[in-house]
Amino acid sequence: MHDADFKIVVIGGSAGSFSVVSNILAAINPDFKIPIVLSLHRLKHLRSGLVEGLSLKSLIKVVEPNDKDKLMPNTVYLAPANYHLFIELDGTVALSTEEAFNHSRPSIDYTLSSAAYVYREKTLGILLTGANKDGAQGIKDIADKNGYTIVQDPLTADIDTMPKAALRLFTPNEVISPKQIVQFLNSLPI
Amino acid sequence: MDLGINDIKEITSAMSDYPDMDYSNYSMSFLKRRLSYAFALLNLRRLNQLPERLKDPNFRDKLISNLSVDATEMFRDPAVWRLIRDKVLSDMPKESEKIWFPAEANGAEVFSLSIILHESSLTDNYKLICQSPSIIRCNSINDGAISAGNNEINQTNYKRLENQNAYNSYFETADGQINLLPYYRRNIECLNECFLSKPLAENSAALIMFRNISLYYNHKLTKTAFRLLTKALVKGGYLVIGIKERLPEDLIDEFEVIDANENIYRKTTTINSRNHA
Repeated sequence: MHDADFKIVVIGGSAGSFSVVSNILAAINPDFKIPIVLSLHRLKHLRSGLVEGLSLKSLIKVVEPNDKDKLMPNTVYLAPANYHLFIELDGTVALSTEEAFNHSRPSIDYTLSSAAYVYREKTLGILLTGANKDGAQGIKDIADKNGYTIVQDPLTADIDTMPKAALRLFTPNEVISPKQIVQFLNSLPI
Repeated sequence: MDLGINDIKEITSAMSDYPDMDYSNYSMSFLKRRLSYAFALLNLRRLNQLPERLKDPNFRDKLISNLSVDATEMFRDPAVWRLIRDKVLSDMPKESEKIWFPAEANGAEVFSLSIILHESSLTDNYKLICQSPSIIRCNSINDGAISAGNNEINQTNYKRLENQNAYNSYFETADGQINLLPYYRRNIECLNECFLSKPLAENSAALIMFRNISLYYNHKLTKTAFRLLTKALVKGGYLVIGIKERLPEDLIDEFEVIDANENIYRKTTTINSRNHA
């Protein structure tokens, strides 16, 4: 059970996650108010394409934020190529060019952990398919702060390394399919 | 070390007693992780050890060096460098020969520009002035040292930019250390100073490179820094900031946008040109 009063949704994913995220955004309630932050592994020299690709089907506006942008309702924020994305205590985005973490920039662990630190039990963390353990510690950090955690069922993942790495660290609130993730999000009060 | 907000305030307060160590206006999320990272590298296990360790100038310099974030790679965002090469360098104001790198971390930015200047036969027209509050960082820049770990991505970026394989001809390798050859850094000087306390004089820089530096500042320090840069730039001079950074609102009128995607600006030659337009 959860108290449903989430202030942020943070989603991490790597290989295979583009189509999962795209399908989630294509089926989500267009009035979904809670800001959604996406930290997805991507090619660092390809700056464009991903936000445009997600925007094609998304029912909510998708943007790549600038540093210090305030997270706003009914908006999806995609971590830009070659930058880490953190969340500041005042609910703004803090980008960084610090060292790659888990061979990744953006690092999913960084984004998820910073959301956990700022929003604590008001954080909804979702970890999807991926070929890397990045994100496993971050979503555990959300659980440790009493946030709500969802890990994509490894049986439904293109590559199950990422969700399996998370399941080795802790027991999330839900281990469900992408379709059930959409149902969960759409069951939240607007 | 897991640092809370009060810990961070105590740390920045202790540090600010020393010259050029005022980090109190850096962003909280940056300080939280970067101080932990630096303390781990410096073997500082308990916060109560900090005041004593800070008395040691070598410790202070290492701390400043570890808090400084490397520019990730040379020729990062090749499109920015292409515009500098093709558009900015041909329109530089004539009254200054100074190109300013106010907070150069590891030489990646200044070495990239020096190679581009060489390829444009403009090296001797400019002085490339870097500043860093860390002696370690400054010495490394003055030696032309680059991180071997970034060499592959540096080459890839260079090839995307210049479409040729000349990259390696600019460097020498000895004992695993890669250095820009002295010939290509003859006009580079790194000064061991913090630009916030010792900025370049007013109206003295033709081009300022300030990419991905204000990311780590809070709003207040961002404004302060950009005001200093704007003052130091000659009219018609250029300012290049990171592609995900923004100029503070109150300075927008001082600049015309040369390229909105790559965040290249030119200081207007008339005050409030927008109002006069």
